Amino acid sequence: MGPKSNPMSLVKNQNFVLLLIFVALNVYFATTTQSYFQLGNYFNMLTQNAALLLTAAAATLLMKTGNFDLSTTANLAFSGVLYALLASWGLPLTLAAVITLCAGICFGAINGLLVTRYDISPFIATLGMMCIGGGAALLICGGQSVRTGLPDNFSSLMQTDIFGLPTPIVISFVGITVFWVAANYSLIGKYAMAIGSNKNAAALAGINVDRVVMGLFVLVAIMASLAGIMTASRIGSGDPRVAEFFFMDVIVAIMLGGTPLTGGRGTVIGTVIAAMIVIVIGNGLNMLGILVFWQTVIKGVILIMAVTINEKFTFSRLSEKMSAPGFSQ
Amino acid sequence: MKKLLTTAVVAAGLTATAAMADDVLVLGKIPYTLEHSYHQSIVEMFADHADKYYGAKTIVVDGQANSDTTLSAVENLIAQGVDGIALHSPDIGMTAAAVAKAHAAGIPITTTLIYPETKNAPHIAPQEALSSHREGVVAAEKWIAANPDKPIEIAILDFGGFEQVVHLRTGPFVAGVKSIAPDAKVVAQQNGFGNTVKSMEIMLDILQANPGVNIIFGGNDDMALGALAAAEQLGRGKMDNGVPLTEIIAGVDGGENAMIKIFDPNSSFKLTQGQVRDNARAEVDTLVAMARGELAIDAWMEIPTLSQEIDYWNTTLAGAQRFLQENFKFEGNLAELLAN
Repeated sequence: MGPKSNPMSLVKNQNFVLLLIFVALNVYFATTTQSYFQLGNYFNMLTQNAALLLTAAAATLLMKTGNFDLSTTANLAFSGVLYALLASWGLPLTLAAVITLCAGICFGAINGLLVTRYDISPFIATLGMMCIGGGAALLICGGQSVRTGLPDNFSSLMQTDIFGLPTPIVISFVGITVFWVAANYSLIGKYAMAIGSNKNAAALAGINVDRVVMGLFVLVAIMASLAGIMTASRIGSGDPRVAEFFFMDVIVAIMLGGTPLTGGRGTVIGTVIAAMIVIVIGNGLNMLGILVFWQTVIKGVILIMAVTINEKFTFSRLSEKMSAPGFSQ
Repeated sequence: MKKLLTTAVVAAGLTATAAMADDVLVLGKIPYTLEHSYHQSIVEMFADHADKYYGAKTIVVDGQANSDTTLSAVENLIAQGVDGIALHSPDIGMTAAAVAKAHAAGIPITTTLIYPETKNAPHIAPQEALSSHREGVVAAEKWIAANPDKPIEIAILDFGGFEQVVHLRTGPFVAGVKSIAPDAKVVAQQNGFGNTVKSMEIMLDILQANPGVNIIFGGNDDMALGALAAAEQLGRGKMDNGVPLTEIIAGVDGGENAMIKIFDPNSSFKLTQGQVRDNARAEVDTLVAMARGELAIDAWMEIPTLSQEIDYWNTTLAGAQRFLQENFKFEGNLAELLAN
């Protein structure tokens, strides 16, 4: 029996542990609530969180470089309002979406520029953009949601099916697959990992660190902007106050999925499973009638657990390496 | 209060889940946000009334003052197959989407305060505009009577651009003031975020920049209390046995914390309005009528409920005590609290 087929190695695999937790939660809620284990409910969960899954999958690549983006919430709100505004002015929805995505890219470009060119920490740079974007979202609509003059097909993106599957689920599935392939089978994934492990070594190895980081900030911004379009389409208006804690959900999913803030490791699959765990907990607790105050507490506990687990895994791997034959400092 | 509410909501949720298996009517209630005592009370009143008069169970899902979350709450209740949904939405556009989803599933839905533009579901409409106007009238009359030489300058704390807040609260209040003092001016209007601490910080800045402000309106009592705290920090916030000295503050909701200040003769917070019980009852009654087929689920109907205006000068302490008992399940004694 090789090491890969050893059951103990599976237990040490963080993604497998997350999958077990996910299954256990599903079994628990399926047995304690009557309406949980139904296809319609799973469609609900995935449709409601398609934007989160998509953005978190993309942001995993960024976080692997040791960077993160707090401005996704503002980008989402701004993009949703802009998309609705453009649609209300009579622009075709496709053109409105393209313009919105271009505007959304600005968030990533500015974030990337501040972090790479001016060496500002991603926390400060993206926090600043979060404030600017949030304010801009309110400014362009005067603080009121955009809902008049929208075309009849404004909500069709989020309310149609493709082969029997709700469109947002298909979009998120395609996006996740692309990011999974990018992370595992493309140079960008390897570069991201290398930059997060050791930025200087990556640069010395010939990787254009600034360009990769800039590109990933832009990628996350595009996904956040798309999330804004999807959200506006879902709720049937451009609301500047939506998804206030979107960035928090994204970061919780990524960290719980095994990507530390410092980067250097992590998987898209881990992020997706972790996001699904958070989603399932929210849905299940709602079905059990648990007050949202408790849900917030539970989310916080999950975040702390995620960090702790990450530290433990890092430590155990380090210990294994150090005890391996031939290890020398 | 929150502990009590937690227990009540959890219990309601669990019994509602169990009730799905039976033929018991199960209603979904989505409050605007459970962070405010007003919405906590309306949830309790709703569940009580549904249980007492119809033997119905209630599932509560918090809308968290967010369109996306509220729409998800509607979808989740639909997935649970409830017999009716009472929605207090934060946004007109989203309300239309929520109503359409509920109707597509054949589930009755009511709205309150924020109505859908589509106007295709019963809407429970607290008559806040009338009471907001009345608050403005009383505030202006009392200020002018005590300070005829000081022109009225108004400061407003709102929720930041919600047009129905303008329509129901801030707009009618200002109109009420101007009906008495046509030269009254709104010198500052800022988002107080519905929050006492934020409102205090913002009002400190407003009063610093506009020391002539003498009438303040908070879009809810939490904001009015924040404005009062700011005024007090600046040595203002005072009355002489009900005679305005520095300013008059008005709010909306009518909870216990506001009442204690309103009936303190030396505090400048003096007016509010609100109702909980009748709104909750109207929501339940309408949903049950639709679930029983007595009302069409897709017909627009405005069901008015009185939002009682309460102020220091025209409302008796006994009246305020009764209001709190009926709307907030208040078990204390307002007079005793004031004496302390």
